[in-house]
Amino acid sequence: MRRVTLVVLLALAPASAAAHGGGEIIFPAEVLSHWHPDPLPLLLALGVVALYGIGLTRLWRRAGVGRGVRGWQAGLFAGGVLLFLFALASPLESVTGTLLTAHMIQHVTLVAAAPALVLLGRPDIVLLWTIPQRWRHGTAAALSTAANVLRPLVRPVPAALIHGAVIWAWHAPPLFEAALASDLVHDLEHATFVATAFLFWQAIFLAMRRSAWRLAGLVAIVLTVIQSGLLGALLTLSNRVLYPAYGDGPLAWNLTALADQQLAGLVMWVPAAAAYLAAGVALGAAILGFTGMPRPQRLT
Amino acid sequence: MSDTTAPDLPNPLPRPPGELEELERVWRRPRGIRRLTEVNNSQIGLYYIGTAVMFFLFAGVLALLMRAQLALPENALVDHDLYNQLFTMHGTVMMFLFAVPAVEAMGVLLLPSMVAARDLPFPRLSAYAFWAYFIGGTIFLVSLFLDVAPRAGWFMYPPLSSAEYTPDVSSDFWLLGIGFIEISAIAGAIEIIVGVLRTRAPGMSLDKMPVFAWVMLVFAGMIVFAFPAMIAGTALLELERAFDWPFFIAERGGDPLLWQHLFWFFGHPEVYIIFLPAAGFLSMIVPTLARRPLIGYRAIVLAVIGTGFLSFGLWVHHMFTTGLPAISMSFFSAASMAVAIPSGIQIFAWIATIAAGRMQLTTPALFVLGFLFIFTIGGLSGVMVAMVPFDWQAHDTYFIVAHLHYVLIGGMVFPLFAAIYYWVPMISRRRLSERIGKVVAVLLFLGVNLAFFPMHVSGLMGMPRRVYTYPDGLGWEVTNLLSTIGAFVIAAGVALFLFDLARNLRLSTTRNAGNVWDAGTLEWLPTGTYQTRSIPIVTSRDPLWDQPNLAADVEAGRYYLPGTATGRRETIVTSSVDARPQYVLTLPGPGWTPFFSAAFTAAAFMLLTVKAVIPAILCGAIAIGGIIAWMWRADIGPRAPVDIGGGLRLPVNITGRNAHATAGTVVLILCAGTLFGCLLFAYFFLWTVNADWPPAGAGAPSPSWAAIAAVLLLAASLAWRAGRGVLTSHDQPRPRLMFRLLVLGAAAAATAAVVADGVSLWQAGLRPADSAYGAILYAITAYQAFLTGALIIMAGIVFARSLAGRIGGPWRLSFEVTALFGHYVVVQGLVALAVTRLFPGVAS
Repeated sequence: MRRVTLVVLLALAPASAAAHGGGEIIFPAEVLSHWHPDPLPLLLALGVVALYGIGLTRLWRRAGVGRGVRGWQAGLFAGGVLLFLFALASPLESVTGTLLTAHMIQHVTLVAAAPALVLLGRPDIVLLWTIPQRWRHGTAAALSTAANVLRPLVRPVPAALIHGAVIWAWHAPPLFEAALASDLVHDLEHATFVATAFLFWQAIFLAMRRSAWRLAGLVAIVLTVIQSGLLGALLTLSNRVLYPAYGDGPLAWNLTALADQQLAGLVMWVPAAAAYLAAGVALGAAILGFTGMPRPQRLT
Repeated sequence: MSDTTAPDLPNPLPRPPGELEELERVWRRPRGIRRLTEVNNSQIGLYYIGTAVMFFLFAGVLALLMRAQLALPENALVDHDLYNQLFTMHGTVMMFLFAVPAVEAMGVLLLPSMVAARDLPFPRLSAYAFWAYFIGGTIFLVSLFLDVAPRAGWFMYPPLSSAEYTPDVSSDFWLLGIGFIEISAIAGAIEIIVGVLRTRAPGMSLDKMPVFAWVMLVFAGMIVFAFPAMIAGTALLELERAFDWPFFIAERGGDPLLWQHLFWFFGHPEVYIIFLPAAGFLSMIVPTLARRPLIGYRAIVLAVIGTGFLSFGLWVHHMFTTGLPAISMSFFSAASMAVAIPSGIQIFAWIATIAAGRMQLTTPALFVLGFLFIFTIGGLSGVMVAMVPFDWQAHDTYFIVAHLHYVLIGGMVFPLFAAIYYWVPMISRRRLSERIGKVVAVLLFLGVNLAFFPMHVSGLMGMPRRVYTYPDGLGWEVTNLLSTIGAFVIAAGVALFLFDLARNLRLSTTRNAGNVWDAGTLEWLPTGTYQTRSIPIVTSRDPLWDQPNLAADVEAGRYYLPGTATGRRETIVTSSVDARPQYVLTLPGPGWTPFFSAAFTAAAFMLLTVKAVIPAILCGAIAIGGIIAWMWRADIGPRAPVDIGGGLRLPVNITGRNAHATAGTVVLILCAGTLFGCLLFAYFFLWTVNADWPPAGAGAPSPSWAAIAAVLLLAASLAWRAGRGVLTSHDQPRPRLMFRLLVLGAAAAATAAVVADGVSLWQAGLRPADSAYGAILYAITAYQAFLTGALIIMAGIVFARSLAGRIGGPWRLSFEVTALFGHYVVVQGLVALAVTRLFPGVAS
């Protein structure tokens, strides 16, 4: 009965209907029947996994199973790819048009979880092994030349600042709603999120391996915790609906638009902070695991 | 206890005659009135901790007055207005003038010897911070006797504290006084961060650093990110009170909750800023008393780092009753309880260390045990108030008063007493009395429990906090009387402690009681005014336990830098992670500039509270003049490399990325950036409050002015870059002129940019007093102007140095920090323009 009322209400509110990315309100009970039809993420994921599998097979055949890249690292890579699929090719993607909270879960997965796991799988090493041996050296050299261009950015603090600026910019209501209205803009939003998230996490993981960067890594993580917490706080604490495009969508989930926005803010505030906290503690552990005990004659 | 083999020592015996005398001459302490000129951290640390203890006594007396008033129902000892001043001053003084400065003081006092540095890298900054705190804090106390003390509670919530409801100057005293003391805390934090990271003894990599040094590093890092929020908040509230800029006035688009967010964004980390150093004391004291290395060193350090992160996530759990969304409560509740994990890790590590060793029941041990009991009870009541439904009941009652005193006294005061009893032998000819100390510990323990446990009951029976009296017959009489008796038992314990100090504390650097506890860390090495005779090579976490001959070898001068290599005060700068020696840093000796700059800075702030603007500006100008004089002599330039022993030749006073001054500037920029971030948060928060952004009728600043400002800023950045290029190229007369023009041009461009920004706001008809929108725009511009002003002074010094031939070639540290800061000012200006000009267009 309640649902019928809602449907009637929604039919009377044309503005809201037009505003959803998919154009359709998805009720909780229907979620599982709304797998996202876009084949692109699926194909990409299959391709990447296949390449990673080939590279890993070659690497392990040469070096021994678990050498070079460990089993758990390969597992994390797979987990990261699955998280990408969860964010982009599961019913979650469909619900992001109905519920801001779902949208934020998607974003947090895309920036705070999936890229970190993928990078922990050391795709840089593994994918190099997919290239036939005689070109490997040349490719690596060419890639590192290309990487030199990006090098000033792949440092913890600059990467964190770029990533933060991109996230804040997309949350300005007109940009956010433009992304809801157009698939192209939405893809651009996700692409910039994911690209800068890779930048950020790569800088953090480099900091774990390079002792001189570790303190900068901690600073970058603190800045990111504060930045994403403050943005989450703004959404959570606001007394008005900042993204009216969602219209009555949240009502289908028994949430008012304001409650949906508060929940969305909390997703960005608390669980995302947990991911950064984990990275910070891991970085601290890397600092403490440092065992270079210099002898007096080698002190210089 | 991994490596017990002594490394080959770098310097041979016997040492040349006169070496020690020369070292003593360089580090000789000024006497008489010239003691005010002392800048050495271990000496300043003593002044600092002494002052903090004085403020503790003062705030304690205020507490006794309040308890005397509340002993009986309808008592008339003090009236409500005085009572309001009493509790506001008690909370404020305890939090801002005692707790934070006391632990910062312990850091300044202990760190140089704990990391075996001759001194931390910015001694004059520490001296400045101390004097600012001493003078500012004393004037703040005096306000109580003039009946102008703050009376709106220690967290100064508007609208109660705003001009409408507190029209007198009492809130101004709080805002300017405390805001000013926060600045001094930040100055101390910069010193501690750079000191811990860059002046550790060779070989003391981060994983071998004493827990206390780790804790102070995290502590200072938290100050860098937390205190700017408080400074931003106090600045906005003071602007509202003084000039009617309506940040917190709802009728004109402001929101009083903005203050609460800024306050608690600072206030929540503040709890850990106070607790972590105290926990650091315990991690040093417990292993010594238990006669074994600390169990779980890495777990403790990770817990400390984790606490630092967690504390920035969640400030709103202090605001459960402000109408936060119901949906958020379970998130905050769960996250609040997560803080129990790192605290628990530390407590279990100490218990395990005590259990695995043989704990001697000395006075510090009694305080440690008292801490464990009291802090645990505070933690348990903390879990209770983390439950939202319970908090709704207990909020603003004496239950909270009981909780916070258990946490703060357990978490900070008991560890501090343990630390004083433990470390006094390091600074005094005689140790404190074990017999008296044990009585002090027992009296404090009984008194605290007697005073504060009944308050839980008073609170549960409904007694609200901050009431100056209560009627008879509510059932609150017994618990209140018990609390008052307990408070006087505490006072008796503190009085006995003072007696002990008077009898046994005889300050001496050179003939101190020494390592009476047989401890393992470097602060127990034999010291002189120069700290240790030579700077040891560290190979483990408890060097004195693992290298039995260390103290003798260090004292004999067999380690690095056994004399003075440059004829000045100096210390070795090592790399931040693995502590490899990088260069020798010459340090300043005694001088009047820190004292006078601090005195006149304090005077300027305090004169502003009473609206004596002209004298305030004069005092400010004198203070800045003092700082310029100090900066003039700061960068003395590189010297020829020197030998510190073992054939290790180090450069003296390097320039560039690895220089200590660069590190200090980076930390300062992080502070400035955090403050700017808080202003941006305020901007967006006010936007979420106001559906009309900009408000109807507010003009839009012309985009062409903003574009001009942006171009000017970019030009400034290019000029800094070009200036560096000219300076590092050959030092010909023509490039020198070019260099001066570029420095002046960069400063002028940054200035013109902020002027263009302000003019465009004014031309658009925006006025700060009209709406919160206008107010926050002008506040952001004013902050940019403030930093630009600082930049102008720095650029002026660089210019004058160039004229005087005190800059050029490799001698360019003062230019490099100026350019670094200049680049930051550019970035901040561009972000400010982007947000304030682009966002309102897209938001509407």
